[in-house]
Amino acid sequence: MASKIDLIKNLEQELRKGTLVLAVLSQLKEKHYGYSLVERLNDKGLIIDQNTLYPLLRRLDKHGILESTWEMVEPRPRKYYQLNKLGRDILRDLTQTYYEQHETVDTLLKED
Amino acid sequence: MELLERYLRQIRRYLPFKDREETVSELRSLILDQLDEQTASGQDQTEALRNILIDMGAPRDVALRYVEKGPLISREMEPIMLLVMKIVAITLPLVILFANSIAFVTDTPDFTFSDVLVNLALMIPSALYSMIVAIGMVFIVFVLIERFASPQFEIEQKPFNPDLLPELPNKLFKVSIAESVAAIFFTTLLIYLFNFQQGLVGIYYEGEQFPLLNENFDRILPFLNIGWFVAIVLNIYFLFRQKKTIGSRTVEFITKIYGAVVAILLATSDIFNDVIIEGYDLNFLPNTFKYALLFIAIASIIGAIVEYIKMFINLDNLETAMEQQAETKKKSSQS
Repeated sequence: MASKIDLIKNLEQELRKGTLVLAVLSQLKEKHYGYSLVERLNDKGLIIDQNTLYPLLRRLDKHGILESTWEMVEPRPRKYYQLNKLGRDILRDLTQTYYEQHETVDTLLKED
Repeated sequence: MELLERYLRQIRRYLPFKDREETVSELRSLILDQLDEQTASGQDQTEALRNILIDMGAPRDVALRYVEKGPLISREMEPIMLLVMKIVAITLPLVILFANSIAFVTDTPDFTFSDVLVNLALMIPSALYSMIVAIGMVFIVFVLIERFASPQFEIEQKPFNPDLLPELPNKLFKVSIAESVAAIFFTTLLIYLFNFQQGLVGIYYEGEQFPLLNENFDRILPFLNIGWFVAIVLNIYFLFRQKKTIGSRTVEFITKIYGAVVAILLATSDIFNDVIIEGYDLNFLPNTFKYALLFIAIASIIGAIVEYIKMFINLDNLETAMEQQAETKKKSSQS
């Protein structure tokens, strides 16, 4: 059996995973490249590992909800990501779902 | 900066073919962004890069995050599977050979020792065959376990050390100019000799000249010409591009296999002029020629296949990596 610390770590990770996508999408209303997005999320208190973020960006891009472009900005080309129309719609729906769920869970937690 | 390229090169190996270059370019740009920031705050560039790479983790781990499906066999499961494969590979053929020998001895009342040996030799192919099938089955079983049981392992985490990254490729995709020029020169010579001056290949005796090869050779000559022609074109292309690509190496591979097949054809056809062979008592020549050529052809088929597979798995890099590892081990045991 896993230790209590491991168990908590695992469950926390799962809890984070769901909101992570939402957090990333929320920042992609503006155009970002990978590193600037890590910085920005970190600044706002969401610590995200690059190894999680970069593949996530790639997956979202593959799902067709982001628009990606290579742009030559000194000193090197960078790949920029931004929500497209579908992405913005999805973000709106997800945000709605998030608030609803948050409210429900909140009530449940405060029951006793 | 060479360290970064070595790192990316290892990541590339584990990435899916699709979008491979794209992912690598993006990672390069992201790592450099991070490096810029750290060097701006006064850190030494080499040291900063090392730390960034250690932070990112081992190439295989980084690459696997870009693969939607996990590996068929996880790295924790791999040693267990290999162990089972080794056990099967050793025991199964022995069991089959042993059981078969017992059956042979009991079925044949008046056997001699050499009978048993002959029977044993005849069984070797099927023992090997069953070994291959069994190894395949073990693999399938492990893939299924991995897919449906996905066992968890507790293993010690080894820290990733960027210094152990293999060097950048040396010879795999490089064109040796001398080699290409020599190949073009000699191939042209062969085409000229066999197509236009076949008479020169023969026996000279008392001012007379007898051709060494007969009309069977002339029938095979067009096949030879095709191979030679492709070889010349390919080498000119190599000289022109100064580097080999997966595509041109594939053509090179096919040409080599083709050449070896034609060589086998040549070895198994009777291409020598009987008059000469018998007249000059050269009976050893056709046989020597046949076996030497067969040997060369098979060796070159094996060599070509190995070279070609090596391109995909970078065996030469693996070797240098292992050497480096051995060295660091030595150093750490000394200290």
